[in-house]
Amino acid sequence: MSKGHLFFAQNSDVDYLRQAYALALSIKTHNKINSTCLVTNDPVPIEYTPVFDYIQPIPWGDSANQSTWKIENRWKLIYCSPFKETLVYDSDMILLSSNDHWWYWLEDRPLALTGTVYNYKGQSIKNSSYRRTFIENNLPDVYFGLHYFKKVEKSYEFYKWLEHIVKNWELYYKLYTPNYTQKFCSMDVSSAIALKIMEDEAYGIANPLSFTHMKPAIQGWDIIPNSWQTSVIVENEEQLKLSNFVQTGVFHYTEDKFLTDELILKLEKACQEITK
Amino acid sequence: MTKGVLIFAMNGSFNYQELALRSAKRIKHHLNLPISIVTNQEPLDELSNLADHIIMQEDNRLNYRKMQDGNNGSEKHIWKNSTRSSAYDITPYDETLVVDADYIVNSNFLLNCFNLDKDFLLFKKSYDLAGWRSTTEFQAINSYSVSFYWATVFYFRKTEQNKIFFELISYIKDNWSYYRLLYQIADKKYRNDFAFSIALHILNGYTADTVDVIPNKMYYTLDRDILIDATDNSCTFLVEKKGNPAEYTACKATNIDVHVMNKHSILRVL
Repeated sequence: MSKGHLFFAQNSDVDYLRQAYALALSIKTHNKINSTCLVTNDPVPIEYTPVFDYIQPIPWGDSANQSTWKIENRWKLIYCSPFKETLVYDSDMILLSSNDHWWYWLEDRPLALTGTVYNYKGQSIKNSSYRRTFIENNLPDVYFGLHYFKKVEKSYEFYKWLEHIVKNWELYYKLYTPNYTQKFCSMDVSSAIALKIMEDEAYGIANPLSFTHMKPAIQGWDIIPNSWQTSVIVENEEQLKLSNFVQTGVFHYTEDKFLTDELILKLEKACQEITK
Repeated sequence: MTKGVLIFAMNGSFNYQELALRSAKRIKHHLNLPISIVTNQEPLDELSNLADHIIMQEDNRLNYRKMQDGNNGSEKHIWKNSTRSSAYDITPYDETLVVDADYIVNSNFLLNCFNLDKDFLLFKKSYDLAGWRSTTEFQAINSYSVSFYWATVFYFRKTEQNKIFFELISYIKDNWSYYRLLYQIADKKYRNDFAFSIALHILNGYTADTVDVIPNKMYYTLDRDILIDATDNSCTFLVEKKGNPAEYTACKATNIDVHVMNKHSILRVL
């Protein structure tokens, strides 16, 4: 069975291609199972291409050419993945240590969405105020930003539902989130509704998928800043440390300015060391 | 294996020997362990008679601390608290329980530390007897930084790992102005709790907690509360009343050890 890592990048005011490049570098550095696939319609700079084993166009054209958040294409991922088993990441993530071991656990599952995320202090985030839609409507508290699928019937069913929900999100949100309705379409809420419809909420719990989420509101701070980078001391010598906490695993940095040229250079060097 | 209790009684402008005397009497009564007193001045006769060892030590670091006495106002005192890192080197025991002079023992609970087959133990969780005040300052050293551990009571064995731990505490103390900035601590004052918390975090590989802790909460009252009475196994307090700092609520702790931060009231009652 082919296994690989896939990410989606459509540039807007943010250079998501650059983010995907950084993510691919980090996957190549840390993982033995390290095939990567970039899904994009944007021209990929030639210097980025060596870290992408596959570059796939967005199937059926760009459905998000009118939007800035560009989530309208996300339901197409299963149709363009070249792998039989795929780990999907948001592009603003990097790997800080190997997650090869996940594949063993995922082998017997058709689908898995992240159900537990951590802040930089290693505390698991539960019942956070920004997940109010999930709590008040009893939706599975899942994160689409890091998920897994195998190309089997159950996963296709999930993605089919996702397509319907994303295309008709106002209708679905009204129906499935009456107690607190989000005013915009998000992949997290849409995938939670899909799991609920399928009565397959279990795909969002009891799996090893997790990441460190750097959204400022969930860091357990007394004062919530606009940018987490103004509140923690960032050290990035041998290991990434945030206010003296070593970071490992999948790191969802959420703020593009974290990805400095210096960091890209560092990731390139680390990748070259491993692959030479 | 020798076992004993170490009490630091470093006199600044407040008489810690008087506090240590009261604490030692109760420790002798409830734990029946040998006691060593660490001090910087000629010890009180009664303290000398009670202790198995008097260990003389200097503390030249200048630290100040405001000490409140309930609502009776506060005084700023010279505070000699920086020699705790020497506990490993100076203890005469193989297994040592270090107890603050203002920790009032009302039970034999701490004897359990010697039976847990752990090399190092201290309190992480705590409970404010007032029951309503914010405890966030005792959960993490600040909201950006590492978990808070209490250096008020700790147990250790003479192991290589513990030797490194105390050397690290000493290093943190000597470079406090650096470490307090690195760990985003606003207060300039050196605190053992903070130094211990930082050292534990570092020795834990800069990750979140997997430290062995004393399996209970450490009960405490603040210096805004007042100890008003005590028996062999209980303490009665007036604790600050919610919403009205000029009033108190009576509260009695029986068979529960309490860290009593109002030192003046300890001297009045015990």
